[in-house]
Amino acid sequence: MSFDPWGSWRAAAAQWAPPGTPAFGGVPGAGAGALPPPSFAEFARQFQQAAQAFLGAGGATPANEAFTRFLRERFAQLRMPWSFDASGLAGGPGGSGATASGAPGGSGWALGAGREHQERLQRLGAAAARLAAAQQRLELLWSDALREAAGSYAGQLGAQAGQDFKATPEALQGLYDRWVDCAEDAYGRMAHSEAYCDAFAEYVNAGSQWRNELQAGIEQWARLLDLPTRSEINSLELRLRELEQAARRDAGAAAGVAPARRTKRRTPP
Amino acid sequence: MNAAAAAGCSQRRAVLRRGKLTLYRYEPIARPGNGPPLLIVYALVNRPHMMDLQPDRSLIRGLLSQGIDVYLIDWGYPDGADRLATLADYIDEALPACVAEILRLHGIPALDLLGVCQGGVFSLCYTALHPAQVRHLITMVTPVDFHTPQDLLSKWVRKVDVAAWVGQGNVSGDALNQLFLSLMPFRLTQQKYVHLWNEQSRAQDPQQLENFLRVEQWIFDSPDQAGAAFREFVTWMYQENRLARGTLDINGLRVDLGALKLPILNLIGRRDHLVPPQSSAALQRLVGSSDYTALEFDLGHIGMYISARAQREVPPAIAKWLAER
Repeated sequence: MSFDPWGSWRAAAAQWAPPGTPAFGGVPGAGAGALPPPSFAEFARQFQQAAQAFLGAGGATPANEAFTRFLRERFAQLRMPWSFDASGLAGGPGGSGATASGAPGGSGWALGAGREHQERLQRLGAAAARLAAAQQRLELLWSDALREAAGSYAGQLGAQAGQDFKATPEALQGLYDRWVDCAEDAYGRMAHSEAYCDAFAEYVNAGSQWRNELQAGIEQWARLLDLPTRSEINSLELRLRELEQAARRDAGAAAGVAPARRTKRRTPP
Repeated sequence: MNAAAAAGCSQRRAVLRRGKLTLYRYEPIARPGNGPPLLIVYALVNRPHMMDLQPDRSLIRGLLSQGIDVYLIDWGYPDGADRLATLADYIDEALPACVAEILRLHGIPALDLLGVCQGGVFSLCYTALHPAQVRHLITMVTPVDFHTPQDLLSKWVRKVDVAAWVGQGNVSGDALNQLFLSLMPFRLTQQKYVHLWNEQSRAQDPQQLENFLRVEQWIFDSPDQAGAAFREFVTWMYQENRLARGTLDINGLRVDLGALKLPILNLIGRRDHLVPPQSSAALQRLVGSSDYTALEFDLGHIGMYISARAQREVPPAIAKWLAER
């Protein structure tokens, strides 16, 4: 997914401009987004009116409630430039369609002091969506295999229709074992297919992505709380390994022991 | 069942400890033969006591009863401190240390090596790098060509981003269990329990139940895998098939199976669903030995260790092959 900041900005600006208004420049008018948010100018006008009414009333309770209600309603509807639903945008964040508009951090262009954290949350949301999609793909294939198995099983039983059947424990187990054979056969064919191998790999890769994003988020909090992180411990362990190897080399040299006997040449680069 | 059952049934003592690794020597139960000691190199996945599960299901007891002096490497349970351990650490540091200790204890220049499954891969690599220290090499249910058409595990991981999967830690043994179970999900997660229930309902047999649970305990007693080594093994073997292609390097040294000239015995499970027989059989075309023997048994992967047929056939076959040389 390529990131086109200029394209994203223009698309975002278009949401705040009336139809026909150039995306860049001009006075923002009625929005054109998915939800009908008030234009910024309209919002500013309403805010001004509500604020004046509140102040003019000297902060009296009815005015206070009215102003509070106004703020709650307007901010609930207001779509910040970085929180628009970008799922249909080409080239912008979430343009791949992988991000749900309700994902943590929203799905729009990250901007401002919290940009880095918003991007992290957006990546986590995208990873979760990817994982869910990958799981669904696998489940569909499972369903196909089970349907095939059921058909095969029914066909085998149908061949025995009309025969005497005594429901002894052995006979019932035989029926069950036959179902398992059908199921494993169908599953085996499906499991070897390229479609399943692709879906399985995608599921694992999506899960890895989700876990790694989650880990990055937890590490962020660990750093804030001055707790050790995996990255720090890895760095320490790498240093420890280097020290151990150097100590072994030095100990060997001091004892006059030749390096481990090799019967092969090193592979040329 | 008691805790001792988890460690195997034969008497043994530790002769070397190195990190999480323990090298065990088994107490003899028969008159010793004339051959060198046999070092068993088990896989990192699962615990090695499967080879010594119970008195009537123990390949190790079978080998001991043939007069073979048996050693076993127990790799232990890796934890977070081991996640940077690489394949070279196992194959070219830990394994040589165990071999060196055995050679020192016996005052001999070379021993016999039996590699099981992934341990067989380690054994092949070690022997290729240190051929002078191995007199006879035995591989059991060992994958060599990881790209045979029947290798489902290999197909599944071919497009997996292994580095992302491993991340910065170890790979959970539970996750690997789930992977293995999903190779035959209906049989391994349902049918065997249904059969157990039916059999116990017909004839309550505490011994059979205990045997079943002992195997169950082993199946789900899966150590975590050291992250770096796991990443290398899956990438180099399952994805890139370096061992069969002759492009595997350990510590900068090429593992050339064609340079293996020593006697080799390759034990193959004809019904092995984890290591397809074709994967093991590929060893024949890759080694340079003129004394190569392949024995196929009509057994699955686990059956090669614990089935009654395995107890009857495998240890005598190994002993006979060794005695002939």
